[in-house]
Amino acid sequence: MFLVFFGLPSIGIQLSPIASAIIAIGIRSFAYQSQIIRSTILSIPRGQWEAALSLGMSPIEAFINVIAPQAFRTAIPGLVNQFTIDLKDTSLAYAIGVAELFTQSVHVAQVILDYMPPLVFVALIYFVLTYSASLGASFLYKRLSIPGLGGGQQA
Amino acid sequence: MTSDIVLRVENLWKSYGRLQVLRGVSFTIRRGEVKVIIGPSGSGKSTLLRCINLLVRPDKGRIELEGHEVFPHPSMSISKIRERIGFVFQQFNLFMHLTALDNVKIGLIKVKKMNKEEATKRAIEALRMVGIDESLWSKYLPS
Repeated sequence: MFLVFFGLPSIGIQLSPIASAIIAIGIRSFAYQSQIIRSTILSIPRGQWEAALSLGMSPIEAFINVIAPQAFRTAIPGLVNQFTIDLKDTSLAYAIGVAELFTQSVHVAQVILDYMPPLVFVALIYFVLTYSASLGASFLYKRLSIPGLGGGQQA
Repeated sequence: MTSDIVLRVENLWKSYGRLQVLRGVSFTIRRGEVKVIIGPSGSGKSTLLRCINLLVRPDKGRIELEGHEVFPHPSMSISKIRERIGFVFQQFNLFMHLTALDNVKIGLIKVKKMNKEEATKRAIEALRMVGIDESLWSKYLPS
């Protein structure tokens, strides 16, 4: 994030703090998400590829019709986990002067001279956001679970 | 008569590293003919079948399907060739995210580009033929 905001201007790219924060968190998250998706694609048994190919599908058709639908379901928990991590990482943006949720609460605290209520309130907002994301995810996971593969019931 | 030869395999070779699995296999299959390949485990039966389907690339030799060269110089795309060869795997490799009926339909719809009603009709006929009745059509593979 520092690199994007303070580093890029020296090669002539000047970005607003908010844009820098979005890009920095985005790039980092992208790396993790791509690994999550990569691993779930690799977790689909080879036989599924072979079966799809032997039906006469092209590799692209096989991926779209057979591999991706199965991989996506396995990817849901990992992706949601990544989402909550990213959400909490947004608070780091205060370091480059973005008035994000956490910073705002500190400002409010300094005005009302009491830290407890704003901080608790902010904690509550983070909790609601992450918890609803994980609720949404388990709903998706159940909806899309592959009967016979298990997993759907425990979620 | 050459026209009733469905499959011709000539001098097919395949080795995995230093292990030679197929050493010059040749045979032909005529229309309506049933051939059985017998051999102990690890003798290359599956490798031979997978070579015909090009799931495994032979090292050398020649494969011809209904007069069209399949290997070494395919005269049509590999997926077109596979479309014309039925293949049952040892572990079946059914699509886990699809129901029994959809497993049968997917090839008809996605590969043969058949419309959904027609595909459903054909798939139901096929499942009935092997004694899978209505109660199982929408079931998934048990774990």
